[in-house]
Amino acid sequence: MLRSTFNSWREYLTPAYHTSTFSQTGEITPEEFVQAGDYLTYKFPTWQWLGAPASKQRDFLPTDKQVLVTRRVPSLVRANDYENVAIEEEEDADGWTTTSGPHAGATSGTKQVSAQQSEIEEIDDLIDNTAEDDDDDEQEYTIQANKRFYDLYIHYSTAYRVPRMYLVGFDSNGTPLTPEQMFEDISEDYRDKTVTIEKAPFLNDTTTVSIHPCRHAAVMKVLINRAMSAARLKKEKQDLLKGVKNIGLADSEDTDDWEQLDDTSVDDVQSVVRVDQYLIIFLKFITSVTPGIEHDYTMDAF
Amino acid sequence: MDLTFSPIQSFADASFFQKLSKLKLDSFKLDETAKKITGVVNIASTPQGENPAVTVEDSSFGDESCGSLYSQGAVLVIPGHITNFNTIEDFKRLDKAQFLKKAGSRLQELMENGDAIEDPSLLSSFEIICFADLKKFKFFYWFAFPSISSHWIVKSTSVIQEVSESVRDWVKSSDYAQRGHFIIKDGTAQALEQLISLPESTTSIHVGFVDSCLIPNKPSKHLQNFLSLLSLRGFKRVTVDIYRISGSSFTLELEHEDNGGSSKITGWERTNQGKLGPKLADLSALIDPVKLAEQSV
Repeated sequence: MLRSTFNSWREYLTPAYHTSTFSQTGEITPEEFVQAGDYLTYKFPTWQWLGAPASKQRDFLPTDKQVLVTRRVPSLVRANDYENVAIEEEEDADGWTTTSGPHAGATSGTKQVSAQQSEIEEIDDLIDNTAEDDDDDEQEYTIQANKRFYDLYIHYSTAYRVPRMYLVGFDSNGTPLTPEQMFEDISEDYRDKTVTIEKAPFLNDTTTVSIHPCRHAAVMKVLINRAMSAARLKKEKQDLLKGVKNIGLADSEDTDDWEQLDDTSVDDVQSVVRVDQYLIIFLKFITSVTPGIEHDYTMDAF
Repeated sequence: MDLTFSPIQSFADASFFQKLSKLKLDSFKLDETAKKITGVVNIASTPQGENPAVTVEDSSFGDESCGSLYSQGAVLVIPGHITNFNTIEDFKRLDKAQFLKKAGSRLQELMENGDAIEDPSLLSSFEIICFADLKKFKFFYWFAFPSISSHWIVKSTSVIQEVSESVRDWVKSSDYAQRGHFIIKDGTAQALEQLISLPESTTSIHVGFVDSCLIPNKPSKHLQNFLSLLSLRGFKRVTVDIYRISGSSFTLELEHEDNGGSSKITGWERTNQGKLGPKLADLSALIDPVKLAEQSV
Protein backbone atom coordinates (compact mmCIF):
# COMPACT_ATOMS: atom_id res chain seq x y z
CA MET A 1 0.00 0.00 0.00
CA LEU A 2 2.76 2.39 0.97
CA ARG A 3 4.80 1.79 -2.10
CA SER A 4 1.75 2.25 -4.21
CA THR A 5 0.95 5.57 -2.55
CA PHE A 6 4.51 6.70 -3.03
CA ASN A 7 4.33 5.75 -6.68
CA SER A 8 1.12 7.63 -7.28
CA TRP A 9 2.74 10.69 -5.68
CA ARG A 10 5.67 10.31 -7.96
CA GLU A 11 3.34 10.00 -10.93
CA TYR A 12 1.65 13.15 -9.74
CA LEU A 13 4.81 15.14 -9.16
CA THR A 14 6.73 14.20 -12.28
CA PRO A 15 5.94 16.63 -15.05
CA ALA A 16 5.37 15.30 -18.55
CA TYR A 17 8.27 15.85 -20.95
CA HIS A 18 7.52 16.48 -24.56
CA THR A 19 10.75 15.86 -26.52
CA SER A 20 10.71 12.76 -28.69
CA THR A 21 13.47 10.24 -27.97
CA PHE A 22 11.74 6.93 -28.54
CA SER A 23 14.25 5.31 -30.88
CA GLN A 24 17.22 6.12 -28.60
CA THR A 25 15.65 5.57 -25.18
CA GLY A 26 12.52 3.48 -25.68
CA GLU A 27 10.53 6.24 -23.96
CA ILE A 28 7.65 8.22 -25.45
CA THR A 29 6.02 11.58 -24.81
CA PRO A 30 2.29 12.00 -24.04
CA GLU A 31 1.77 13.27 -27.61
CA GLU A 32 3.42 10.14 -28.97
CA PHE A 33 1.28 8.03 -26.63
CA VAL A 34 -1.84 9.58 -28.19
CA GLN A 35 -0.43 9.09 -31.69
CA ALA A 36 0.40 5.45 -30.98
CA GLY A 37 -3.00 4.95 -29.34
CA ASP A 38 -4.78 6.34 -32.38
CA TYR A 39 -2.89 3.92 -34.57
CA LEU A 40 -3.62 0.99 -32.26
CA THR A 41 -7.38 1.71 -32.16
CA TYR A 42 -7.36 2.12 -35.94
CA LYS A 43 -5.54 -1.16 -36.59
CA PHE A 44 -7.28 -3.11 -33.81
CA PRO A 45 -10.81 -1.82 -33.22
CA THR A 46 -11.10 -4.01 -30.10
CA TRP A 47 -8.90 -1.34 -28.51
CA GLN A 48 -10.76 1.85 -27.65
CA TRP A 49 -9.91 5.18 -26.08
CA LEU A 50 -11.59 5.92 -22.78
CA GLY A 51 -12.04 9.11 -20.79
CA ALA A 52 -11.46 9.25 -17.03
CA PRO A 53 -13.74 10.44 -14.20
CA ALA A 54 -13.33 14.19 -13.62
CA SER A 55 -11.20 13.75 -10.50
CA LYS A 56 -8.76 11.50 -12.33
CA GLN A 57 -8.29 13.49 -15.53
CA ARG A 58 -4.76 14.32 -16.63
CA ASP A 59 -4.50 17.62 -18.40
CA PHE A 60 -1.63 16.70 -20.72
CA LEU A 61 -3.85 14.15 -22.49
CA PRO A 62 -7.07 14.90 -24.41
CA THR A 63 -10.14 14.40 -22.15
CA ASP A 64 -11.52 11.63 -24.34
CA LYS A 65 -8.13 9.92 -24.68
CA GLN A 66 -6.97 9.32 -21.14
CA VAL A 67 -6.46 5.58 -21.28
CA LEU A 68 -6.75 2.72 -23.78
CA VAL A 69 -8.94 -0.27 -23.07
CA THR A 70 -9.87 -3.62 -24.56
CA ARG A 71 -12.53 -5.59 -22.75
CA ARG A 72 -13.37 -9.20 -22.09
CA VAL A 73 -10.23 -10.65 -23.60
CA PRO A 74 -10.59 -14.40 -23.10
CA SER A 75 -8.06 -16.46 -21.21
CA LEU A 76 -8.52 -20.22 -21.34
CA VAL A 77 -5.22 -21.40 -19.87
CA ARG A 78 -3.40 -20.23 -16.75
CA ALA A 79 0.16 -18.95 -17.23
CA ASN A 80 1.68 -21.91 -15.35
CA ASP A 81 -0.07 -24.47 -17.51
CA TYR A 82 0.76 -22.51 -20.62
CA GLU A 83 4.45 -22.41 -19.80
CA ASN A 84 4.58 -26.11 -19.04
CA VAL A 85 3.02 -27.00 -22.33
CA ALA A 86 5.69 -24.93 -24.03
CA ILE A 87 8.55 -26.43 -22.04
CA GLU A 88 7.67 -29.98 -23.00
CA GLU A 89 8.59 -29.32 -26.58
CA GLU A 90 11.77 -27.42 -25.91
CA GLU A 91 15.14 -28.89 -26.81
CA ASP A 92 18.49 -27.69 -25.55
CA ALA A 93 21.53 -27.09 -27.71
CA ASP A 94 22.56 -30.73 -27.77
CA GLY A 95 19.14 -31.91 -28.80
CA TRP A 96 18.08 -33.11 -25.31
CA THR A 97 14.50 -32.47 -24.48
CA THR A 98 14.17 -30.61 -21.21
CA THR A 99 11.77 -32.31 -18.85
CA SER A 100 11.45 -29.76 -16.08
CA GLY A 101 8.14 -29.86 -14.25
CA PRO A 102 5.48 -30.52 -16.87
CA HIS A 103 3.04 -31.50 -14.12
CA ALA A 104 3.50 -28.58 -11.77
CA GLY A 105 0.73 -26.64 -13.41
CA ALA A 106 -1.90 -29.24 -12.71
CA THR A 107 -1.93 -28.45 -9.00
CA SER A 108 -2.81 -24.80 -9.35
CA GLY A 109 -6.42 -25.55 -10.11
CA THR A 110 -7.10 -28.08 -7.38
CA LYS A 111 -5.93 -25.89 -4.52
CA GLN A 112 -8.55 -23.32 -5.38
CA VAL A 113 -11.31 -25.85 -5.54
CA SER A 114 -11.04 -26.91 -1.91
CA ALA A 115 -10.96 -23.32 -0.70
CA GLN A 116 -14.10 -22.55 -2.62
CA GLN A 117 -15.93 -25.68 -1.54
CA SER A 118 -17.97 -24.03 1.19
CA GLU A 119 -18.88 -21.14 -1.09
CA ILE A 120 -20.09 -23.57 -3.71
CA GLU A 121 -22.34 -25.32 -1.19
CA GLU A 122 -23.66 -21.96 -0.09
CA ILE A 123 -24.48 -20.91 -3.62
CA ASP A 124 -25.82 -24.31 -4.68
CA ASP A 125 -28.38 -23.89 -1.97
CA LEU A 126 -29.79 -20.93 -3.89
CA ILE A 127 -30.31 -22.68 -7.22
CA ASP A 128 -33.90 -22.50 -8.36
CA ASN A 129 -34.71 -24.69 -11.34
CA THR A 130 -38.30 -23.52 -11.43
CA ALA A 131 -37.35 -19.88 -11.95
CA GLU A 132 -38.44 -19.95 -15.58
CA ASP A 133 -39.81 -22.08 -18.40
CA ASP A 134 -37.41 -23.76 -20.77
CA ASP A 135 -35.66 -21.28 -22.95
CA ASP A 136 -35.23 -22.60 -26.47
CA ASP A 137 -31.96 -20.71 -26.91
CA GLU A 138 -30.16 -22.10 -23.88
CA GLN A 139 -30.46 -25.81 -24.52
CA GLU A 140 -26.85 -26.24 -25.52
CA TYR A 141 -25.08 -24.46 -22.74
CA THR A 142 -21.36 -24.96 -23.03
CA ILE A 143 -19.64 -25.12 -19.69
CA GLN A 144 -16.26 -23.43 -19.59
CA ALA A 145 -15.76 -22.90 -15.90
CA ASN A 146 -12.01 -22.33 -16.35
CA LYS A 147 -12.46 -19.51 -18.77
CA ARG A 148 -11.57 -16.03 -17.61
CA PHE A 149 -11.94 -12.60 -19.10
CA TYR A 150 -9.64 -9.61 -18.80
CA ASP A 151 -10.13 -5.91 -19.26
CA LEU A 152 -6.73 -4.56 -20.28
CA TYR A 153 -5.92 -0.89 -19.78
CA ILE A 154 -2.91 1.01 -21.10
CA HIS A 155 -2.17 4.17 -19.15
CA TYR A 156 0.69 6.64 -19.62
CA SER A 157 3.30 6.73 -16.87
CA THR A 158 4.89 10.15 -16.51
CA ALA A 159 7.46 8.85 -14.04
CA TYR A 160 8.87 6.37 -16.55
CA ARG A 161 7.66 7.99 -19.79
CA VAL A 162 6.28 4.67 -21.06
CA PRO A 163 2.86 3.04 -21.35
CA ARG A 164 1.80 1.03 -18.34
CA MET A 165 -0.51 -1.98 -18.41
CA TYR A 166 -3.26 -2.60 -15.83
CA LEU A 167 -5.30 -5.81 -15.79
CA VAL A 168 -8.78 -6.38 -14.36
CA GLY A 169 -9.92 -9.99 -14.42
CA PHE A 170 -13.30 -11.74 -14.30
CA ASP A 171 -14.14 -15.40 -13.92
CA SER A 172 -16.43 -17.26 -16.30
CA ASN A 173 -19.41 -15.88 -14.36
CA GLY A 174 -18.37 -12.30 -15.04
CA THR A 175 -17.49 -11.87 -11.36
CA PRO A 176 -14.29 -9.99 -10.38
CA LEU A 177 -11.16 -12.07 -9.74
CA THR A 178 -9.01 -11.53 -6.68
CA PRO A 179 -5.45 -10.23 -7.19
CA GLU A 180 -4.18 -13.66 -6.16
CA GLN A 181 -6.21 -15.27 -8.95
CA MET A 182 -5.04 -12.68 -11.45
CA PHE A 183 -1.43 -13.47 -10.56
CA GLU A 184 -2.02 -16.96 -11.96
CA ASP A 185 -2.17 -15.36 -15.39
CA ILE A 186 1.20 -13.65 -15.08
CA SER A 187 4.23 -15.52 -16.36
CA GLU A 188 6.38 -16.89 -13.56
CA ASP A 189 9.38 -14.83 -14.65
CA TYR A 190 7.55 -11.62 -13.88
CA ARG A 191 5.14 -12.67 -11.12
CA ASP A 192 7.30 -11.88 -8.12
CA LYS A 193 9.32 -9.07 -9.58
CA THR A 194 7.53 -6.54 -11.67
CA VAL A 195 3.85 -7.13 -11.07
CA THR A 196 2.08 -5.22 -8.31
CA ILE A 197 -1.45 -4.83 -6.95
CA GLU A 198 -2.66 -1.29 -7.60
CA LYS A 199 -5.80 0.78 -7.49
CA ALA A 200 -6.39 1.89 -11.07
CA PRO A 201 -5.46 5.59 -11.22
CA PHE A 202 -8.05 6.20 -13.96
CA LEU A 203 -11.05 4.35 -12.46
CA ASN A 204 -13.03 4.57 -9.24
CA ASP A 205 -12.47 1.80 -6.71
CA THR A 206 -10.98 -0.78 -9.02
CA THR A 207 -8.17 -3.01 -7.87
CA THR A 208 -5.91 -4.18 -10.66
CA VAL A 209 -2.67 -6.01 -11.12
CA SER A 210 -0.20 -3.88 -12.99
CA ILE A 211 3.03 -4.60 -14.76
CA HIS A 212 5.49 -2.19 -13.24
CA PRO A 213 7.06 0.03 -15.91
CA CYS A 214 10.56 0.38 -14.41
CA ARG A 215 12.11 -1.86 -17.10
CA HIS A 216 9.77 -1.04 -19.97
CA ALA A 217 11.99 1.58 -21.63
CA ALA A 218 14.99 -0.75 -21.73
CA VAL A 219 12.92 -3.63 -23.09
CA MET A 220 11.21 -1.42 -25.63
CA LYS A 221 14.56 -0.06 -26.81
CA VAL A 222 15.79 -3.59 -27.46
CA LEU A 223 12.57 -4.54 -29.24
CA ILE A 224 12.58 -1.40 -31.37
CA ASN A 225 16.20 -1.98 -32.36
CA ARG A 226 15.42 -5.57 -33.19
CA ALA A 227 12.46 -4.50 -35.30
CA MET A 228 14.66 -1.95 -37.02
CA SER A 229 17.37 -4.43 -37.93
CA ALA A 230 14.72 -6.90 -39.08
CA ALA A 231 13.31 -4.16 -41.27
CA ARG A 232 16.78 -3.32 -42.53
CA LEU A 233 17.41 -6.96 -43.43
CA LYS A 234 14.09 -7.18 -45.20
CA LYS A 235 14.89 -4.06 -47.13
CA GLU A 236 18.32 -5.36 -48.15
CA LYS A 237 16.74 -8.58 -49.31
CA GLN A 238 14.18 -6.68 -51.35
CA ASP A 239 16.89 -4.52 -52.82
CA LEU A 240 18.87 -7.56 -53.75
CA LEU A 241 15.83 -9.11 -55.41
CA LYS A 242 15.15 -5.91 -57.24
CA GLY A 243 18.76 -5.89 -58.39
CA VAL A 244 18.45 -9.42 -59.72
CA LYS A 245 15.28 -8.54 -61.53
CA ASN A 246 16.88 -5.47 -62.99
CA ILE A 247 19.67 -7.51 -64.48
CA GLY A 248 17.11 -9.59 -66.32
CA LEU A 249 14.95 -6.71 -67.47
CA ALA A 250 17.42 -4.42 -69.13
CA ASP A 251 14.91 -2.14 -70.81
CA SER A 252 12.57 -1.27 -67.92
CA GLU A 253 12.88 1.96 -65.94
CA ASP A 254 15.58 0.44 -63.84
CA THR A 255 18.19 3.14 -63.96
CA ASP A 256 16.19 5.29 -61.56
CA ASP A 257 15.79 2.38 -59.21
CA TRP A 258 19.49 1.78 -59.04
CA GLU A 259 20.12 5.35 -58.08
CA GLN A 260 17.55 5.13 -55.32
CA LEU A 261 19.04 1.97 -54.00
CA ASP A 262 22.38 3.59 -53.43
CA ASP A 263 20.57 6.26 -51.48
CA THR A 264 19.20 3.91 -48.82
CA SER A 265 19.94 6.26 -45.97
CA VAL A 266 19.77 5.91 -42.21
CA ASP A 267 16.64 8.03 -42.34
CA ASP A 268 14.87 5.44 -44.39
CA VAL A 269 15.55 2.63 -42.00
CA GLN A 270 14.54 4.62 -38.96
CA SER A 271 11.30 5.67 -40.52
CA VAL A 272 10.49 1.97 -40.93
CA VAL A 273 9.71 1.81 -37.22
CA ARG A 274 7.40 4.72 -36.61
CA VAL A 275 6.45 5.97 -33.18
CA ASP A 276 2.78 5.23 -33.82
CA GLN A 277 3.67 1.53 -34.00
CA TYR A 278 5.11 1.73 -30.49
CA LEU A 279 2.08 0.27 -28.72
CA ILE A 280 1.89 -2.68 -31.06
CA ILE A 281 5.48 -3.57 -30.16
CA PHE A 282 4.57 -2.94 -26.52
CA LEU A 283 1.69 -5.43 -26.73
CA LYS A 284 3.97 -8.08 -28.15
CA PHE A 285 6.16 -7.61 -25.09
CA ILE A 286 3.11 -7.79 -22.77
CA THR A 287 2.17 -11.09 -24.37
CA SER A 288 5.30 -12.64 -22.91
CA VAL A 289 4.21 -11.45 -19.47
CA THR A 290 0.64 -12.72 -19.80
CA PRO A 291 0.91 -15.68 -22.19
CA GLY A 292 -2.59 -17.04 -21.52
CA ILE A 293 -4.50 -13.83 -22.26
CA GLU A 294 -5.44 -13.98 -25.88
CA HIS A 295 -5.54 -10.38 -26.97
CA ASP A 296 -5.06 -9.71 -30.63
CA TYR A 297 -1.37 -8.97 -31.02
CA THR A 298 -1.01 -10.94 -34.21
CA MET A 299 -0.62 -8.16 -36.71
CA ASP A 300 2.79 -7.44 -38.09
CA ALA A 301 3.45 -3.81 -37.35
CA PHE A 302 5.66 -3.28 -40.38
CA MET B 1 -34.91 -22.19 -40.27
CA ASP B 2 -35.91 -20.87 -36.85
CA LEU B 3 -34.23 -17.72 -35.66
CA THR B 4 -32.09 -18.29 -32.56
CA PHE B 5 -30.24 -15.87 -30.32
CA SER B 6 -26.97 -15.63 -28.40
CA PRO B 7 -27.57 -15.52 -24.63
CA ILE B 8 -26.49 -12.40 -22.77
CA GLN B 9 -23.78 -12.53 -20.15
CA SER B 10 -23.44 -10.11 -17.26
CA PHE B 11 -20.19 -8.58 -16.06
CA ALA B 12 -20.12 -6.79 -12.72
CA ASP B 13 -17.14 -4.56 -12.00
CA ALA B 14 -15.79 -4.43 -8.46
CA SER B 15 -16.59 -0.71 -8.47
CA PHE B 16 -20.28 -1.58 -8.86
CA PHE B 17 -20.31 -3.51 -5.60
CA GLN B 18 -18.27 -0.83 -3.85
CA LYS B 19 -20.82 1.78 -4.83
CA LEU B 20 -23.68 -0.51 -3.86
CA SER B 21 -22.16 -1.00 -0.39
CA LYS B 22 -21.89 2.76 0.07
CA LEU B 23 -25.46 3.36 -1.08
CA LYS B 24 -26.78 0.55 1.10
CA LEU B 25 -25.16 2.14 4.16
CA ASP B 26 -25.90 5.78 3.35
CA SER B 27 -29.18 5.90 1.50
CA PHE B 28 -30.98 2.60 0.76
CA LYS B 29 -30.55 1.28 4.30
CA LEU B 30 -33.39 -1.22 4.82
CA ASP B 31 -35.29 -0.18 1.70
CA GLU B 32 -35.93 -3.29 -0.41
CA THR B 33 -37.67 -1.61 -3.36
CA ALA B 34 -36.24 -1.72 -6.89
CA LYS B 35 -33.81 1.08 -7.71
CA LYS B 36 -33.12 2.40 -11.19
CA ILE B 37 -29.69 1.73 -12.61
CA THR B 38 -28.08 1.56 -16.05
CA GLY B 39 -25.81 -0.93 -17.78
CA VAL B 40 -23.31 -0.62 -20.60
CA VAL B 41 -23.25 -2.76 -23.74
CA ASN B 42 -20.08 -2.59 -25.81
CA ILE B 43 -20.80 -2.44 -29.52
CA ALA B 44 -17.49 -1.27 -30.97
CA SER B 45 -15.15 -3.53 -29.05
CA THR B 46 -16.79 -6.96 -29.15
CA PRO B 47 -14.52 -10.00 -28.98
CA GLN B 48 -14.78 -12.69 -31.67
CA GLY B 49 -17.03 -15.61 -30.74
CA GLU B 50 -18.09 -14.30 -27.32
CA ASN B 51 -21.66 -13.86 -26.14
CA PRO B 52 -23.12 -10.37 -25.89
CA ALA B 53 -22.39 -8.75 -22.53
CA VAL B 54 -23.99 -6.24 -20.20
CA THR B 55 -21.58 -4.53 -17.81
CA VAL B 56 -22.48 -2.72 -14.61
CA GLU B 57 -19.99 -0.40 -12.92
CA ASP B 58 -20.02 2.37 -10.33
CA SER B 59 -21.46 4.87 -12.79
CA SER B 60 -24.44 2.51 -13.24
CA PHE B 61 -26.00 4.21 -10.21
CA GLY B 62 -25.58 7.72 -11.63
CA ASP B 63 -28.18 9.52 -13.69
CA GLU B 64 -26.36 10.51 -16.83
CA SER B 65 -22.69 9.79 -16.36
CA CYS B 66 -22.89 6.15 -17.39
CA GLY B 67 -21.36 5.81 -20.82
CA SER B 68 -19.94 9.33 -20.90
CA LEU B 69 -16.36 8.09 -20.66
CA TYR B 70 -16.59 5.92 -23.75
CA SER B 71 -15.68 7.06 -27.24
CA GLN B 72 -18.46 8.22 -29.46
CA GLY B 73 -20.61 5.35 -30.66
CA ALA B 74 -18.71 2.68 -28.72
CA VAL B 75 -21.51 1.60 -26.39
CA LEU B 76 -25.23 1.37 -25.76
CA VAL B 77 -26.54 2.40 -22.34
CA ILE B 78 -29.54 0.37 -21.22
CA PRO B 79 -31.94 0.80 -18.30
CA GLY B 80 -32.32 -1.64 -15.43
CA HIS B 81 -33.32 -2.10 -11.80
CA ILE B 82 -31.61 -3.51 -8.77
CA THR B 83 -33.59 -5.00 -5.91
CA ASN B 84 -31.41 -5.37 -2.85
CA PHE B 85 -32.57 -7.70 -0.08
CA ASN B 86 -31.66 -7.24 3.58
CA THR B 87 -31.11 -10.91 4.37
CA ILE B 88 -30.13 -14.01 2.47
CA GLU B 89 -33.46 -15.53 3.59
CA ASP B 90 -35.39 -12.71 1.89
CA PHE B 91 -33.34 -13.31 -1.23
CA LYS B 92 -34.09 -17.02 -1.06
CA ARG B 93 -37.77 -16.60 -0.30
CA LEU B 94 -38.44 -14.40 -3.34
CA ASP B 95 -40.57 -16.28 -5.87
CA LYS B 96 -38.16 -16.05 -8.80
CA ALA B 97 -40.64 -17.31 -11.41
CA GLN B 98 -43.19 -14.76 -10.28
CA PHE B 99 -40.61 -11.97 -10.23
CA LEU B 100 -39.64 -12.71 -13.84
CA LYS B 101 -43.26 -12.97 -14.98
CA LYS B 102 -43.99 -9.58 -13.46
CA ALA B 103 -40.99 -8.03 -15.19
CA GLY B 104 -42.16 -9.62 -18.43
CA SER B 105 -45.70 -8.31 -18.19
CA ARG B 106 -44.40 -4.83 -17.32
CA LEU B 107 -42.36 -5.01 -20.51
CA GLN B 108 -45.38 -6.15 -22.48
CA GLU B 109 -47.31 -3.17 -21.14
CA LEU B 110 -44.55 -0.82 -22.30
CA MET B 111 -44.79 -2.40 -25.76
CA GLU B 112 -48.55 -2.02 -25.86
CA ASN B 113 -48.83 1.53 -24.54
CA GLY B 114 -46.11 2.76 -26.91
CA ASP B 115 -43.50 3.72 -24.31
CA ALA B 116 -41.09 1.14 -25.73
CA ILE B 117 -41.54 2.66 -29.18
CA GLU B 118 -40.66 6.13 -27.93
CA ASP B 119 -37.73 4.77 -25.91
CA PRO B 120 -36.65 1.48 -27.52
CA SER B 121 -33.79 1.03 -25.05
CA LEU B 122 -36.53 -0.20 -22.68
CA LEU B 123 -36.60 -3.35 -24.83
CA SER B 124 -33.14 -4.21 -23.51
CA SER B 125 -33.87 -3.53 -19.85
CA PHE B 126 -32.53 -5.84 -17.13
CA GLU B 127 -33.16 -6.72 -13.48
CA ILE B 128 -30.72 -7.59 -10.71
CA ILE B 129 -31.65 -9.16 -7.41
CA CYS B 130 -28.95 -8.96 -4.78
CA PHE B 131 -28.00 -9.66 -1.21
CA ALA B 132 -24.95 -7.78 0.06
CA ASP B 133 -23.14 -9.24 3.05
CA LEU B 134 -21.26 -6.08 3.96
CA LYS B 135 -19.35 -7.60 6.87
CA LYS B 136 -17.76 -10.26 4.70
CA PHE B 137 -17.70 -8.27 1.44
CA LYS B 138 -19.73 -10.98 -0.26
CA PHE B 139 -22.41 -10.26 -2.82
CA PHE B 140 -25.01 -12.75 -4.02
CA TYR B 141 -26.52 -11.43 -7.22
CA TRP B 142 -28.63 -12.66 -10.09
CA PHE B 143 -29.27 -10.93 -13.40
CA ALA B 144 -32.42 -11.30 -15.44
CA PHE B 145 -32.85 -10.06 -19.01
CA PRO B 146 -36.64 -10.37 -19.28
CA SER B 147 -37.46 -11.60 -22.75
CA ILE B 148 -40.80 -12.21 -24.42
CA SER B 149 -40.71 -14.88 -27.09
CA SER B 150 -42.22 -14.71 -30.55
CA HIS B 151 -41.65 -17.20 -33.30
CA TRP B 152 -39.86 -16.16 -36.49
CA ILE B 153 -38.64 -18.13 -39.50
CA VAL B 154 -35.52 -16.98 -41.35
CA LYS B 155 -36.42 -16.77 -45.03
CA SER B 156 -33.04 -15.57 -46.15
CA THR B 157 -29.79 -14.08 -44.94
CA SER B 158 -27.57 -11.74 -46.90
CA VAL B 159 -24.37 -9.88 -46.13
CA ILE B 160 -24.47 -6.09 -46.01
CA GLN B 161 -21.54 -5.04 -48.16
CA GLU B 162 -21.37 -1.49 -46.98
CA VAL B 163 -23.17 0.13 -44.07
CA SER B 164 -24.74 3.38 -45.21
CA GLU B 165 -23.51 6.74 -43.99
CA SER B 166 -26.88 7.49 -42.45
CA VAL B 167 -26.83 4.36 -40.31
CA ARG B 168 -23.23 4.94 -39.22
CA ASP B 169 -24.12 8.48 -38.16
CA TRP B 170 -27.15 7.17 -36.31
CA VAL B 171 -25.12 4.67 -34.30
CA LYS B 172 -22.51 7.30 -33.56
CA SER B 173 -24.59 10.26 -32.58
CA SER B 174 -28.21 9.44 -31.77
CA ASP B 175 -28.94 9.33 -28.06
CA TYR B 176 -28.80 6.11 -26.10
CA ALA B 177 -32.56 5.63 -25.99
CA GLN B 178 -32.78 5.45 -29.79
CA ARG B 179 -29.38 4.10 -30.78
CA GLY B 180 -29.95 0.34 -30.78
CA HIS B 181 -33.31 0.03 -32.56
CA PHE B 182 -34.55 2.06 -35.51
CA ILE B 183 -36.50 2.06 -38.76
CA ILE B 184 -34.87 2.07 -42.16
CA LYS B 185 -36.81 4.12 -44.67
CA ASP B 186 -35.48 5.13 -48.10
CA GLY B 187 -32.06 3.90 -47.05
CA THR B 188 -31.82 6.18 -44.03
CA ALA B 189 -32.13 5.47 -40.32
CA GLN B 190 -35.15 7.01 -38.58
CA ALA B 191 -36.58 6.95 -35.08
CA LEU B 192 -38.75 3.95 -34.18
CA GLU B 193 -41.55 6.36 -33.26
CA GLN B 194 -42.42 6.49 -36.95
CA LEU B 195 -44.07 3.10 -36.47
CA ILE B 196 -47.05 4.87 -34.96
CA SER B 197 -47.75 6.97 -38.04
CA LEU B 198 -47.83 3.96 -40.40
CA PRO B 199 -51.24 2.93 -41.75
CA GLU B 200 -52.76 0.18 -39.63
CA SER B 201 -52.87 -2.31 -42.46
CA THR B 202 -49.06 -2.30 -42.86
CA THR B 203 -47.70 -5.79 -42.18
CA SER B 204 -44.13 -5.54 -43.38
CA ILE B 205 -41.32 -3.30 -42.22
CA HIS B 206 -37.58 -2.70 -42.55
CA VAL B 207 -35.71 -2.10 -39.28
CA GLY B 208 -32.16 -1.82 -37.99
CA PHE B 209 -30.71 -3.41 -34.87
CA VAL B 210 -27.25 -2.74 -33.42
CA ASP B 211 -25.78 -6.05 -32.34
CA SER B 212 -23.31 -6.59 -29.52
CA CYS B 213 -21.86 -9.96 -30.49
CA LEU B 214 -20.05 -11.41 -33.50
CA ILE B 215 -21.44 -14.96 -33.41
CA PRO B 216 -22.41 -15.99 -36.97
CA ASN B 217 -26.18 -15.97 -37.60
CA LYS B 218 -27.02 -15.66 -33.90
CA PRO B 219 -27.74 -12.08 -32.97
CA SER B 220 -27.90 -11.00 -29.34
CA LYS B 221 -30.93 -12.11 -27.33
CA HIS B 222 -31.76 -8.39 -27.10
CA LEU B 223 -33.22 -8.68 -30.59
CA GLN B 224 -35.99 -10.95 -29.35
CA ASN B 225 -37.97 -8.23 -27.56
CA PHE B 226 -37.68 -5.98 -30.59
CA LEU B 227 -39.24 -8.67 -32.77
CA SER B 228 -41.93 -9.37 -30.19
CA LEU B 229 -42.80 -5.69 -30.21
CA LEU B 230 -43.15 -5.80 -33.99
CA SER B 231 -45.28 -8.93 -33.87
CA LEU B 232 -47.45 -7.35 -31.17
CA ARG B 233 -47.94 -4.39 -33.51
CA GLY B 234 -49.20 -6.71 -36.23
CA PHE B 235 -46.15 -7.01 -38.45
CA LYS B 236 -45.83 -10.36 -40.21
CA ARG B 237 -42.78 -9.83 -42.41
CA VAL B 238 -39.74 -8.06 -41.08
CA THR B 239 -36.48 -7.20 -42.80
CA VAL B 240 -33.95 -6.58 -40.07
CA ASP B 241 -30.45 -5.25 -40.68
CA ILE B 242 -28.11 -6.57 -38.00
CA TYR B 243 -25.31 -4.03 -37.56
CA ARG B 244 -22.02 -5.23 -36.18
CA ILE B 245 -19.46 -2.47 -35.86
CA SER B 246 -16.44 -4.75 -35.53
CA GLY B 247 -17.69 -7.57 -37.76
CA SER B 248 -19.70 -8.14 -40.87
CA SER B 249 -23.27 -6.87 -40.82
CA PHE B 250 -26.13 -8.81 -42.40
CA THR B 251 -29.79 -8.67 -43.31
CA LEU B 252 -32.38 -11.18 -42.13
CA GLU B 253 -35.68 -11.66 -43.95
CA LEU B 254 -38.05 -12.91 -41.28
CA GLU B 255 -41.58 -14.19 -41.33
CA HIS B 256 -43.70 -14.43 -38.23
CA GLU B 257 -45.13 -17.86 -37.56
CA ASP B 258 -48.19 -17.98 -35.37
CA ASN B 259 -47.88 -21.25 -33.52
CA GLY B 260 -50.98 -20.68 -31.43
CA GLY B 261 -49.27 -20.92 -28.05
CA SER B 262 -48.90 -17.96 -25.78
CA SER B 263 -45.51 -16.28 -25.63
CA LYS B 264 -42.98 -17.39 -23.02
CA ILE B 265 -41.14 -15.13 -20.65
CA THR B 266 -37.55 -16.11 -19.95
CA GLY B 267 -34.36 -14.33 -19.00
CA TRP B 268 -32.73 -15.45 -15.74
CA GLU B 269 -29.04 -15.65 -16.41
CA ARG B 270 -27.48 -19.07 -15.93
CA THR B 271 -24.29 -19.65 -13.97
CA ASN B 272 -21.09 -20.93 -15.55
CA GLN B 273 -22.37 -24.40 -14.65
CA GLY B 274 -25.44 -23.81 -16.80
CA LYS B 275 -27.68 -23.71 -13.72
CA LEU B 276 -30.47 -21.34 -12.81
CA GLY B 277 -28.97 -19.71 -9.78
CA PRO B 278 -27.27 -16.57 -8.50
CA LYS B 279 -23.59 -15.73 -8.70
CA LEU B 280 -21.36 -14.91 -5.81
CA ALA B 281 -18.80 -12.13 -5.86
CA ASP B 282 -16.38 -12.48 -2.97
CA LEU B 283 -14.62 -9.15 -2.92
CA SER B 284 -12.96 -9.50 0.45
CA ALA B 285 -9.57 -9.69 -1.25
CA LEU B 286 -10.33 -6.66 -3.40
CA ILE B 287 -11.96 -4.21 -1.01
CA ASP B 288 -11.43 -5.44 2.53
CA PRO B 289 -8.86 -2.89 3.76
CA VAL B 290 -7.16 -5.42 6.05
CA LYS B 291 -6.61 -7.91 3.26
CA LEU B 292 -5.47 -5.22 0.85
CA ALA B 293 -2.80 -4.14 3.30
CA GLU B 294 -1.55 -7.73 3.60
CA GLN B 295 -1.25 -8.17 -0.14
CA SER B 296 0.60 -4.99 -0.93
CA VAL B 297 3.53 -5.67 1.38
